[in-house]
Amino acid sequence: MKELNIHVVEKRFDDALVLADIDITIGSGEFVAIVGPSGVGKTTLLSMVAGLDADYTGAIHYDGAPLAAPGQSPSGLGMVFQEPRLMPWLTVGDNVRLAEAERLARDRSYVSRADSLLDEVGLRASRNAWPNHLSGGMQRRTALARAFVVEPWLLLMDEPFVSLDLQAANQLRELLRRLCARVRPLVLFVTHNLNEALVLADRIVFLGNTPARVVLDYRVEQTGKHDLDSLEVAALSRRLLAHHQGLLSEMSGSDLDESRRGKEGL
Amino acid sequence: MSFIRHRAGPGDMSRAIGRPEPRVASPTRWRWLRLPSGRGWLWRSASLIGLAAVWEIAARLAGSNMLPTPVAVLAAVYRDTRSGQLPLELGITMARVVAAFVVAMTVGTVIGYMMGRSHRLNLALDGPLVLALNIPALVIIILCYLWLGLTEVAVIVAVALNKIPVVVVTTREGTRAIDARLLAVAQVYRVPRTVTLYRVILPQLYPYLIASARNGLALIWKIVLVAELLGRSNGVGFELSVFFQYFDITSILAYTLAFAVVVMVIEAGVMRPLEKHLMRWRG
Repeated sequence: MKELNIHVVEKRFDDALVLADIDITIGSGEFVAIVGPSGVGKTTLLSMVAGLDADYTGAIHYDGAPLAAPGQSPSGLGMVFQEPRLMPWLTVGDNVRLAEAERLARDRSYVSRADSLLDEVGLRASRNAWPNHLSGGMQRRTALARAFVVEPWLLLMDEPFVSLDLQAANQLRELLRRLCARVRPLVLFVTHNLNEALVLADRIVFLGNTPARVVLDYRVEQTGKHDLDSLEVAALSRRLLAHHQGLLSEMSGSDLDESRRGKEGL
Repeated sequence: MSFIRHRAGPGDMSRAIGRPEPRVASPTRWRWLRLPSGRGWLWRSASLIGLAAVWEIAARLAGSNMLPTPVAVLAAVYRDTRSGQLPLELGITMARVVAAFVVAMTVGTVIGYMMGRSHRLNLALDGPLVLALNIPALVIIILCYLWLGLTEVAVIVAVALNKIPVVVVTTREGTRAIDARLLAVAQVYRVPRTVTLYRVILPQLYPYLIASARNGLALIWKIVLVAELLGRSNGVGFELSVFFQYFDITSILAYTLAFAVVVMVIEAGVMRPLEKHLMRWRG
């Protein structure tokens, strides 16, 4: 099986060491969540894989070869950012088609898949709308359609469902699961929400401490997909934290900690 | 009333309560003053008519050749339009304006964009830019005539040189304001460079480009007239110099009026619709 290997010797911002000695290997088609406190360098790690940040020592390989040429992003990459990052001057349809521009430049006979993707995310009727006329949830759907229109083998997601209400976030997670089941990309999903990671991922990589390193690499035993706040997910999270007593203290002050306390308060 | 109470300090409170309520203009009371949107032209034409009326009255009171009445000026416009002289001179001047405008916008935008992107280039060119911004238009025009001769090229170069630094400054500001997060999207999806330019970069520069185009049009036609006055034998500026020698104030005002109207028509008929189209996503 082809594998993505992320090896980071050192990543510094000015003089501060942010990431050190990270070595993660992921099989193609695997869904990996990266969980850690905010500011730990999760987004930085994602930017490095995306080719947006080349200022580090280490190497990222896929199937034994460098993932991308220096200063470039890997081809066949889909990415969803924390904000939808749509071009406000392009319609919803054109925003999705923008991701196909490279494909179209290579292959003049390429037929756009944007309409069928917009169908899939339930936005066909809005394809001629301006993004700023859409709700936050619809903007994120557009961003999802843009990421999947390139049929990515590698999908990077940086807390894509934060600042949405619970229902909209649940719908989007369900949509993501459907799209992933069809396209089967290798997913790196950054989140600070342990339950979200448990619900979506096959495997969870916990980052913690300064400089950040892998605190725990955890394989999720899947018992079928559930809602974020279902009893099953709560049980999974309890079992995980019971087996790894040190996890919370190693990531102390983290959002993981907070989300747990919030959970118990309910 | 509620917002007045809210904003008053604790000491003012008792006094405010003791006083009768101030009369707050209700929305309905002033409705007749507010014109419905889309009728902006009503205000515009009202102010222009008012201006013409003031002019007419002043001219009659003065009763002198020094200030002809608007009617006399309009008559002169009509006379020279029928004879064909006014349209011809207007056309010649307009061609110069357009040529200088295109050169200045193109060169200024490219330099401004590069200065906005490259810190080093900005450091290298910022000094000359400040210098260029402060050279009087007249000096540039005279030097161009001396170096390039009394030619058409000299006019266009001189006028463009006057405008380029202003375009550079505006475009540089716009380039610095480009959202790096949207550029990251283009990079991640490996969007080809030309598509990135037209779909990601230029739309962010449009507000700045439109602003400098509008200011540019206003600035350029004024400078073209000066250049024509100094070194050409045709165009509105040259005609004005002839009228100046004959003390023909009526014709001076007639040509000025005609040209100003043409520029306003371009502003209303080209610039504003263009801006509306490019910025339609904001609505």
